[in-house]
Amino acid sequence: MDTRSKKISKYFKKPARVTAFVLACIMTGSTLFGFVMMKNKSMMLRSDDSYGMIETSYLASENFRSKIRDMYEQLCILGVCELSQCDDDMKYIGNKYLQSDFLYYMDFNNYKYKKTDSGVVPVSDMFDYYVAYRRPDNAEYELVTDEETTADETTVQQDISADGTDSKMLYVTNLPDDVIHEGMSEDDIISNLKNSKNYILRQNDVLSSDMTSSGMMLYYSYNSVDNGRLTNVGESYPNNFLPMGGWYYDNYGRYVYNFGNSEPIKFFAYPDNTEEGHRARWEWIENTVPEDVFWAEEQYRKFSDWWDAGDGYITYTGDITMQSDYEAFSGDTSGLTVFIAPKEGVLENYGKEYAAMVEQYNVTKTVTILLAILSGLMLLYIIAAAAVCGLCHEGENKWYDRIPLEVYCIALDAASLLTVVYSRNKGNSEITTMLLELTNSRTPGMIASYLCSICLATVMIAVCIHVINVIFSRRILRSMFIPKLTAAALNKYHSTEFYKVINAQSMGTKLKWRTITLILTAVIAVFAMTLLYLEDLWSYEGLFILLLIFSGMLFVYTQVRNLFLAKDLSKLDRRIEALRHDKPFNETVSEGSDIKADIDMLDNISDTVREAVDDQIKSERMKIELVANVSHDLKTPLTSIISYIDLLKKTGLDDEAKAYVEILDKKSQKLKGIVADVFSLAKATSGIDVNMEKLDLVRLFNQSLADADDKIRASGKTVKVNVTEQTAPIFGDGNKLYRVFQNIIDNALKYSMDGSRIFLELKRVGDRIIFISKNISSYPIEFTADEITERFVRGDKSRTDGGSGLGLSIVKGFTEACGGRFRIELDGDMFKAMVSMPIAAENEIKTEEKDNI
Amino acid sequence: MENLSANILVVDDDRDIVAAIAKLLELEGYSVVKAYDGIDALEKLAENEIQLILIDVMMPRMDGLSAIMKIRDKRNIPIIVLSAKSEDTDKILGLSMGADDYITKPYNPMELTARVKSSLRRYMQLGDIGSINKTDVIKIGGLALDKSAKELTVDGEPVRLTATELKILELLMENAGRVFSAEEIYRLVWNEDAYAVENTVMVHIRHIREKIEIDPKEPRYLKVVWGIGYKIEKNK
Repeated sequence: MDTRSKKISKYFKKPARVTAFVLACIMTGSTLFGFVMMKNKSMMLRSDDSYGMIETSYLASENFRSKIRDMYEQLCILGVCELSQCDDDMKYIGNKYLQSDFLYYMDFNNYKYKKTDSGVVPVSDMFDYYVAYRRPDNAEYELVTDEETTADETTVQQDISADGTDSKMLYVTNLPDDVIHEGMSEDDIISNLKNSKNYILRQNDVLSSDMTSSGMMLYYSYNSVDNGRLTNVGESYPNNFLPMGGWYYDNYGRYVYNFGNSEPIKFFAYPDNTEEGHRARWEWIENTVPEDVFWAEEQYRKFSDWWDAGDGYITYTGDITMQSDYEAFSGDTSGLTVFIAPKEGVLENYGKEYAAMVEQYNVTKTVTILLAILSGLMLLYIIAAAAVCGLCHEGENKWYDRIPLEVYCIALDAASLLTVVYSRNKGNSEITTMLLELTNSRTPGMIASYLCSICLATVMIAVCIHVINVIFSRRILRSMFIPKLTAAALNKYHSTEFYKVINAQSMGTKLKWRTITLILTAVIAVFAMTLLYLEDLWSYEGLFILLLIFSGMLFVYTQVRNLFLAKDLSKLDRRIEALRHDKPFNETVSEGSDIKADIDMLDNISDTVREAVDDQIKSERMKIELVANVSHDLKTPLTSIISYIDLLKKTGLDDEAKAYVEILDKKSQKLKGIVADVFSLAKATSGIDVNMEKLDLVRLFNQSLADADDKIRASGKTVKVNVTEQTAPIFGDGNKLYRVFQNIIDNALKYSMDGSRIFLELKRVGDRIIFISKNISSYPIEFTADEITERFVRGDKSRTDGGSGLGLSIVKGFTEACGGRFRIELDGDMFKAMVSMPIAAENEIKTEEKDNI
Repeated sequence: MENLSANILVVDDDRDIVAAIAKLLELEGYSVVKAYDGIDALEKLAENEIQLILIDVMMPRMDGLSAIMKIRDKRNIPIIVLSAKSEDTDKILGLSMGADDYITKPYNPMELTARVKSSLRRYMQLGDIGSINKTDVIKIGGLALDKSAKELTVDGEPVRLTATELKILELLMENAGRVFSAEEIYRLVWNEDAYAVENTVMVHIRHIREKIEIDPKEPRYLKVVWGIGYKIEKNK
């Protein structure tokens, strides 16, 4: 064990680690809770367009704005859905579905209201309000009803006088009677209302307010149709923005906005009677209501088979083309008057409350950040402790340490997945929102369900921290990356036939398939991305994201494999290098490596080559041994023959016998020479007994010539020598090359015509030194250049003179043994022998010379 | 040339060759003891007073090299190897095993007797020449050059050399083992600039060889290093 880790392990004793674990759990939980609190508070304090920062002014805060918006909305809807459907006595005579939709809307949004004899009256502590509906004085109004309507008449018709003064105005308000009372003219009411501070007043499609409260409606966001897509747009009053209401109903009087749309009332940038406004409204319907529900025509939408299940919702069941009489209409909002103003003293109190909330938020934020830092430190401590214990090989025998790592990972996944799924079912995607709701929830059932979520979250946190602990305590460096179960699965896979076949493929094949995979990956990715950007397929988003993740994983996998391949390729290089120099290759190549098959092949080649070389050497050695044995067996009797011939010569013989003995002596000496030549030639052609050293061929030639001086003189022939080089450094066996020159010169002397000249030439051609001997043959040349270098072939077939017939064979054999070339050219009676040797490189000579001196 | 009478042990598994050598040596006045393998040789050596051994390498029962090693344990007498193996490695092996000389088969009878005589002379006469411990005498194998007396003896026998030959030999013997090129020899001996002197030097070398070597074609002392120069082998 590492002594250093032992030394520091005292800081990580078990009680400290357990304490740290508990503390980390608590602190992480508290941090999470702190973040929930922060979010909870900031949601109330920030606005849609403040990018998450809290607003310093309560007027701009989402908290206040949402209250105004809610009030404004419910008043608008009250006007168009309730008041417009009442008769002059405030009796509701409209479609019952419309009313139930309206009441559901109020309940759904938790708007407080009370039902009175004169209809639904909203209740508000914050605002004074007034909402009125006056029938349009210039429009025919027809409400198509069927047997489901509550009214006795199927058609409500309002008589409207020519000047419009008879048009009845219905209103609902919480203002006291001294401000508004029965019988007041509309103009009086409005002038009264305008005395309030911070009011918002809508008349028909025109919005106005006093300057003090104009900020309240600033940045009111609305949905706009932009390039065919519904987008949320922040607009600034009073530029070109008129926050106008539109409402939509079918020909049975039912609201259609509830089809997947939680907003009961829409606001558009242009009035309904303009071309832009008209288009925007239909496009909004097109984008909001599912495409297959109805389609657009110029003025209306036709609906298919929608029916009421009795719960106030309308459900689509049938084929759209079967119900051509079903139509959707845009409701008219002209005649609507809406007024809101904060009650006296409300704004002042609200400002104080708001300041207190900001203060609370700031405290929460500070505490949460501190907690986050502390829990981070705790986690670091746990990781360090786990790592140290892992290094010390401790903590591997607890029951929870024997659980495979994968189980922990699965547990972690399951815990987080459960939490997310659970909170999603609650309509929220985040634990934070869930926790937030816990603080607001009231019923025991809700509290219980949220507590469940909290418990799950707690378990998740604990599991998380424990997994971190376990991962780092398991000698991470050794086994973290391939945990037990995975390793076992891999082993199993590696023992299958399939894997063996795949793995035995050559590197090129593997690379080919990997590249194909890579290209496929890219194709899939591009395909998925392209489709994802086609609007029509956004509903398959999940599938494409899966595809993207899949292709991303493939990409990373192939690239990682290629990285390993790159590493292995340099290993392969070294293997080839080793093969080239016939060195042993000691590096190991793992079974799964891409180059395994190639390395195996190279190993085979290496073995084959070595065997071949061994065989070659063996057969050469056998050949030499054979020659040596034959030579020995020839020499032994020859020794006796020569010895006894010598003894014979010393005994007293008559002249005739003496002459015979002389012949015997001569021939036995020749036989001796032949045997020696055969043996040395056999050795030289096998490359044995050749001692290569650096020498000077010019000097060697001069020595050979000087050595042959006597013979030349005795022959009476003229030898013309032409040596152009001062020196010719070569590598060769001096003794062998001396025999080469000796034999060529002997040959020339022996077979040249009497009185003719022999030309010996030594010159440099390129990087070779060439020796040429030329003479005129005394016999007619009746052999080919190839034949003459064959063993025992001589110019004259009769073979009566002194040569062994091996001379030129020896020249050829010895020259080639020294790395040179020997060639014979025949031209008429001209006999030309050429020896060519490569000149040794300059630098080699220099170092050699230094060694010699 | 005086002959020394000596008992020579001839060892070879080929009886004809032993007989031929025996006859040859007896003609020269030596008495010969014959043996036909290594063990036989050791026995004969123990039974007789032997001054020189001629021994073959490849023999049954005990080969020549093993026999030489056994003999060298006790005896200092000259041993000449007589073998059909003619490669350098065989010669080197034989000589390093303790042999004094190496003759390859088929031998030249003249050479054989010359080498026998030479070895015997060195053993019997020059064995105590070590007492002549003059610094002026350079000894290499059987060669002894008395620089002050300008006298050369080969195996104790005086050899007549010309002044130039003596100078060349002196140069080479003083620097035994070193290779001299023809130009170097010429410059150092003739004291003149050397140009195309290969022939001149070679002639002298050949003359010296004929005087000091038993077989001038296979010289023991004065050697040509082909393509480089000339040298005298160092003492083994």
